[in-house]
Amino acid sequence: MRVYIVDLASGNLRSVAQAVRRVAPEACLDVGRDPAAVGQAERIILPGVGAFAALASRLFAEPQLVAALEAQRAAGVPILGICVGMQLMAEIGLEHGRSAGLGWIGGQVEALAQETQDPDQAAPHSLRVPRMGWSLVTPTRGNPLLPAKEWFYFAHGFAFAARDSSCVLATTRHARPADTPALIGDTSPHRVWGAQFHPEKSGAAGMAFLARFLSPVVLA
Amino acid sequence: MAGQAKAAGETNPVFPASTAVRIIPCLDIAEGRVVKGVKFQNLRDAGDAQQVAQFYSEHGADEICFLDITASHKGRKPLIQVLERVAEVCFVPLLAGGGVATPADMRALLCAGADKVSVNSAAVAQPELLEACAAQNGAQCVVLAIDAKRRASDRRASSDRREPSEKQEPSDQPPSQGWEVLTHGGRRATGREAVAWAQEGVARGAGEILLTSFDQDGTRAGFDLPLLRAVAAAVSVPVIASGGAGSAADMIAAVRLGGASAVLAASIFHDRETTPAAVATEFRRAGLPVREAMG
Repeated sequence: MRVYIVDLASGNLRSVAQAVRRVAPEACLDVGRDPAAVGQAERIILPGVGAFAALASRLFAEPQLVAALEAQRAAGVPILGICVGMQLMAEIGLEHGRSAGLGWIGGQVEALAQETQDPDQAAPHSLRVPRMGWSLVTPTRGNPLLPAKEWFYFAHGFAFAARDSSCVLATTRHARPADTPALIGDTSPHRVWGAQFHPEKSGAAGMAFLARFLSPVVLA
Repeated sequence: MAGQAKAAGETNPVFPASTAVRIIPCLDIAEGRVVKGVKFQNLRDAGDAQQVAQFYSEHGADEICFLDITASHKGRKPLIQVLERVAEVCFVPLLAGGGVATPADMRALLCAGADKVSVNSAAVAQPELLEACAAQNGAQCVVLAIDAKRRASDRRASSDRREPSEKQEPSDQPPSQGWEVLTHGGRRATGREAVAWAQEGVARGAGEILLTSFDQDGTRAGFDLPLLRAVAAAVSVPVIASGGAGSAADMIAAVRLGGASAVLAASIFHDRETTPAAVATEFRRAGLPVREAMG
């Protein structure tokens, strides 16, 4: 299995690569931004930490890389975005100004709602932004990557607002009242998923999630 | 939904959301080894960093913190090596800090395997550092570490050099003069007010506050709850409580009464008095949302 991790100069590359090596030691893993290597890959991971605008500008500065990703998406090669890598699949991101994303999944990336608080009261832990920590992720639609509820690690201040709820495969709860998408996907005819959480930092649950994405049986 | 008594972590009147309170063992690093002192002094060896970190990640740690306490005057190379080794075996979030003075320092730690980096002395000297770090790496990577000391005019804090065995609870009232920010591992007073500094730090881009009470550090006498409360009320980002953890009850108080989103402890974990998993069990009993670790 040829696995390619797209290098957008994001800080978590090493962690993602180490997690892939852990769950798929037999995989042929490469990290970079080579359009030809993207074209050969059987699994593509798009990790991202940082701000939407910065990562989008790095991605779109390389039109051949984008074209290679588009071609693999059209060919049905499984692609997984992580955190801002997931958010880049939106049409629009609003972090540090308005910028375009890949537009693979309808919707935009908006700031997490910060509830108005009584100024004399400390905000409850659960309403603080950025949201840092482990949350329970609940599947809302049958999907091969997350068959059951599990805890994953999140670190984000912005969230994907999907236009079509059928793209939301699993949700998590932070600020009331709305649940935010934790796993999104466009799975027919494409095989594109985006995880708002960090599987590479989510212990055994995260390793199992990555193992399913990399499995030639689960995603035949 | 409110009021329904469901499983903790799903629907809870105090914690309506499912983001768990984090339990964070802290590894103070000197020369690549884990050390622990009292009030930042009298360091003793507490093991190999990779082994200690792996033990915690297998025993319920939600995150692991690495602070290079010698870095401010000796450089950061040892911390980078520690992180690289730890990241090979630990797949939980890693928070690292100690001597970070530039966005490039921060970048090096992130690339070595850290998910978040704390800045302390350098941010006090040069607050724009926070903006630069957040712009490059996102606010969620930038943790402002604040070491705060009760002002000397407060009688209870002025009885300096308390022995750790003397269990002394901090006063429940904020000191009249507030708390002063210390830097350089507690060696230097800055004259800055801790609560105002936390607010400024968040306004400049910090996504989290790691708040250590200098008075309580290593004493196991409980967290400085008035300090926690004051800072948690002043900022909207998560606050990590640090300094003074002696029991799970202290940690529960830090969350319930102090408003902390996470609790950090060193001594009680290093001495194997308890484990993060055992603390999580106590949190669950107290109705706090905790992660259910998988197999």
